[in-house]
Amino acid sequence: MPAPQLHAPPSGVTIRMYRQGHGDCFLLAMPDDAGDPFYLLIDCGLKPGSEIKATIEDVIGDIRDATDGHIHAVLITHEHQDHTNMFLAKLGGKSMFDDITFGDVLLGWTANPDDTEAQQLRQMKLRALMRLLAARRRLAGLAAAGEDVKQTLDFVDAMLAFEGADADFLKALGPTDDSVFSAADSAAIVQGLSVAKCMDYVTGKVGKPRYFSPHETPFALNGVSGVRLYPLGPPRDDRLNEDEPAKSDAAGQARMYEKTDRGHGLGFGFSSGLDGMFVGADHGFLGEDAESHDPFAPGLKLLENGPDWSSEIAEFFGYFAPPTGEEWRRINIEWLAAAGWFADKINTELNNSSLVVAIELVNSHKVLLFPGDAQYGSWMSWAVAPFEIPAQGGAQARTVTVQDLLARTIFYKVGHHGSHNATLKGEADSDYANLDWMALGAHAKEFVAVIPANTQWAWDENDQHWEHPLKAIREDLEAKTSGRLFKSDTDFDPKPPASAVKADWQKFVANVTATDLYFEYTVLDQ
Amino acid sequence: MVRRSPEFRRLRVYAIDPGLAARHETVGLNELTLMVPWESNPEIEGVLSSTQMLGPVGNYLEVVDYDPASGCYYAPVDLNETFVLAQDGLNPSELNPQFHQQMVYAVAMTTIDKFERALGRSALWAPRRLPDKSYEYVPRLRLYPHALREANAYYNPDKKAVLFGYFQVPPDSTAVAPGTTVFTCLSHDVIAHEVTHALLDGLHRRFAESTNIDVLGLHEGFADIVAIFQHFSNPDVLKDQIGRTRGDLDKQNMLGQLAQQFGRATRRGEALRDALGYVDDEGNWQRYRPNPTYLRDATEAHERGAILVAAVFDAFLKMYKSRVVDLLRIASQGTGQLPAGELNIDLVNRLADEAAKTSEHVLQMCIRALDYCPPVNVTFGDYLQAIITADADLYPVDEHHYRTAMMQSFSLFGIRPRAVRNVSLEGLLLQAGDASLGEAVPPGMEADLDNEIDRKAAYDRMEENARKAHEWLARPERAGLLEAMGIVTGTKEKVPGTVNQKKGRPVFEVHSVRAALRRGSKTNLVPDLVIEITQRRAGYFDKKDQTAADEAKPTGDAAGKGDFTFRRGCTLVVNQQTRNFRWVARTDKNICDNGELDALRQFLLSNPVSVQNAFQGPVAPGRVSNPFAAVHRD
Repeated sequence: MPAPQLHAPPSGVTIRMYRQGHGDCFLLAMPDDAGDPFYLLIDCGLKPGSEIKATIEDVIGDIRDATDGHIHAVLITHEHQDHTNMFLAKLGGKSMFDDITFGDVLLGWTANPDDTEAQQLRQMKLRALMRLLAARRRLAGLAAAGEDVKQTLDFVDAMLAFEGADADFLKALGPTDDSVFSAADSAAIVQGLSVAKCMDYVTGKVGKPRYFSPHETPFALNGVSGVRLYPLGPPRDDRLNEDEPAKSDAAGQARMYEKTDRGHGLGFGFSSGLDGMFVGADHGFLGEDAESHDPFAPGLKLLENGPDWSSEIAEFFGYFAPPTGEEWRRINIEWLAAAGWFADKINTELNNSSLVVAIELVNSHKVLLFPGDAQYGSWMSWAVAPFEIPAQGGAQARTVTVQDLLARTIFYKVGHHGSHNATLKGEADSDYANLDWMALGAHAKEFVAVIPANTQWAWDENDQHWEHPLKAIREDLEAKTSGRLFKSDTDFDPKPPASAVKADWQKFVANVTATDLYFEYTVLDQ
Repeated sequence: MVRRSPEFRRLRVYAIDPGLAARHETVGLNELTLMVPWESNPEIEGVLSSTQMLGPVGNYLEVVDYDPASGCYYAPVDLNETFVLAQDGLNPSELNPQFHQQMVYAVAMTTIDKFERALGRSALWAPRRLPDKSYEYVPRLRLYPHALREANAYYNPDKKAVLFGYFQVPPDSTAVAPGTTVFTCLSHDVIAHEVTHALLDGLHRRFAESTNIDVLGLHEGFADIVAIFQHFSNPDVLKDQIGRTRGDLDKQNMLGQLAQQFGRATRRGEALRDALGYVDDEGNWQRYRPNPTYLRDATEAHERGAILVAAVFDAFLKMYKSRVVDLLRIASQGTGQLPAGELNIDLVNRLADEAAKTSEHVLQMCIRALDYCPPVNVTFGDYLQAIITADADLYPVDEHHYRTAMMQSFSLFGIRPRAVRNVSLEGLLLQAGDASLGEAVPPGMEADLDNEIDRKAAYDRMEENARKAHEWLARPERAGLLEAMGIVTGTKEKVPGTVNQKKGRPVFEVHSVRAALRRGSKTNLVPDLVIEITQRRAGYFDKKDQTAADEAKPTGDAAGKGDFTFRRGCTLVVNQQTRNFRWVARTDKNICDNGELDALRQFLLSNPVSVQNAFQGPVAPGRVSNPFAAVHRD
């Protein structure tokens, strides 16, 4: 049996950041109490088509070799394609992860089937996705009838892709027909989205996943007393819904690297009065009464060739309206455009369900921060409570504040590919977590940030044009790290940048290994 | 018996929206009768005959009630039907789609009428661009009262149509009973606002290109201004409020509060809601006091639009106060203290009349200014200059100090033109004409003196006049004239290769030549021609590409080249008789200016307003299919 190829450092942790594409995949190796390596995998996914140099097969092959086929703990921050889809990657019809075993699976409380609040959220998300799929079926029906719905359809599909809807899924979903679904039928279809399947696959590999809530007692990994994990998110209150501060919230706007022009989350878009649109789109799929959102009494509806379709009316609408009237003024598709907006809402709001962890090295107290794709509301919630650490062995009970944790942070996985609402702006003495809380004092010399992003793909090759990372955030990170910044799509340059202090840079470079497949960086616990 | 068609058709509408009738404190205010210019169906062989008013489809508007989400049509109303005619149109009702058709028609016609009076010519819609890039005349704006199932309504410039939405109030609403269906086509404000967008599109083809932080804000703010003051120019709307506030000037804030109620149920008219005031800790409504920092801090279209509305509203209050000061003196016997108890109904009526008259004047000032704005890249400062110049042009004597009120209120809200050194009434006037530069148009460009003329003929003449004016101005001997109004002719400076050129000379477009026949203070008619001239240049996001293309040889038509299009130009107000221009409204700097080009580049690359959602990047002007839909959603 070949030995695992990724060695754990004598103390501390080695982080392998894969360069698979636009998405997150981190393999961490740390020594357990017996001196053997303990492997922790944080997320494993990418946006299809965003590959950089390595292939998915290369990455999974490397993970297998590095760990010798056993990963002690797998942490999934949240249920999005670019964090999960590689778990179901296949080679020659066989799931590549089938010959890799997992010890533990670590998830946020929002994924816990036994949590009442999480159940409600999942119900809400299920309803939202059903509505979106209803609109998608109608759009497909219109497309099949030759209508130009490409723009809305593409947008809806791009957002559904985050849930793992691929071409096969969309084909099976089909266009609107007259069939009526039971609630269970349409729920089963939602469950068939590949991200849902990924989650089932990963959790199915272990007996029972472990779920974490913010500000719970920090937890250890099995048999590793050298690190402690502090869960900071997802928030358990209304902050969960806040992807951005409201436009009218001046204080909130000041915490952003870029002003936002929308309000914050609406609970998967539900208070926006769109229910009527979805029922109109495909009432059968939703199992609802077609007339439930009609604006007028049934007798007032005038149907083509119906009982009240007089010759005068036929002439009138024949001249002015579809299907025979002025083609260019038809409005058959415009009413469905709001589905794109709704889809965007669902997608954005899910980022806040990210399990956020601060990983502390127990001797040096250095901290590595992995926030997933947590956004504004999550960041705002981190510092509302400290961590209470009970007395243990000889150590006394003590309190650790989030501000203190962030001040000791020497490694930051940049939130959501560096997007505008997933790294907050502020000062060291602000009363909310922000970039300037991180890496204070001596830690500043060691501060490293990593951005998992394929910038060119996100901007040019993706119809939605995402600015990942946001220029202002990238510039602040470059300054704050003195150039110790990794970005998946940019080869590492060992030459010190102009801003670097030579001695700090040399220490840093000594701990870096860079290949086309990954960046590897070791933090020693000293 | 001689049969003559009446001047007006009386049509009943909801005064504000049905939500107001459903609230106790405003129940007395729910209905209004509008007088709209009389018209019947145009003759369309086999479809419509002029004995009917089916649709309604008239000369300006066609209401087509198709509801795609419900998969049905609603029968068109016939406003000429005897029973309908006999009672000033159908009874206001949320449950009757035919009443909805009547209301969108009546309010939209009122807005059109206001525009025609202010501008002194027939309103034309933007022509339709055909696939072969030629333009086709569009006689009627289409109104779809039930096109969407969402809390939204917008003008679609491709379809020359306004789409109105309806939706069921979600269960968490406190403003309106949950489950109620709200129709945006029954909101006076929403209709006036959207029709104003359509009218603006018909007036200036490039007016909506978002090339600076103000453009979309101006569109939104202007549309709200029209909505508010169109409303207030009807005294009946105001009587109730004026009676309640006892004419007390300090409590005239209620007018603002009333304006804000428009947006409550539809969650639209956000500019109105945010612009005029807020509810304080004690639950009392307070008007925002002017503060120049608001504008500095506002970057989003609705926010900036709201500030424009607030500035105009502030000016309106000043004007109104100065108009009623004598009435209040009389009523208070000179003490300034009105007697306790309800106000005398005659006083209420007089105050309401004054408020309505003031509103009408503000509305006319604001609309008329459109003819004095540069054709592209308009800023709030340009708009202020336009308001002042247009008003001074028609009314040399400013009896009620309207212009001072406007200038002061704009200034207090931080709005001032960039290029003006001295903010005074004189300093704000546009560049005046200079007869020594020669005639700006060829002889024989008679404009119509009759507003009632067939609008298709007016459109054709406008196109014809644009061709004639272009030919006249393109002659080499007019180079001096063009340079004086900021149009680059290549005779004075080196012209970058990216500027649109033909045979080595920069070209310009004459967009339109519009007639304007307005009534001045001496009841004289002022006949003018309004001419828009623009030039364009290809812009590149990468400065290196820009420099390379600037230094390269001109490549002919710049359309579609580069990453974005940069335009400069001017609007001329030309005296029809002397053919000399009287005023010129120019964009800042000319088409060769690299600083302005870079300002546009930076705007497109960084402005969050152009970012439609969290994931989207900048969108170059003219490349968004429908900027209005995006601005309005949520």
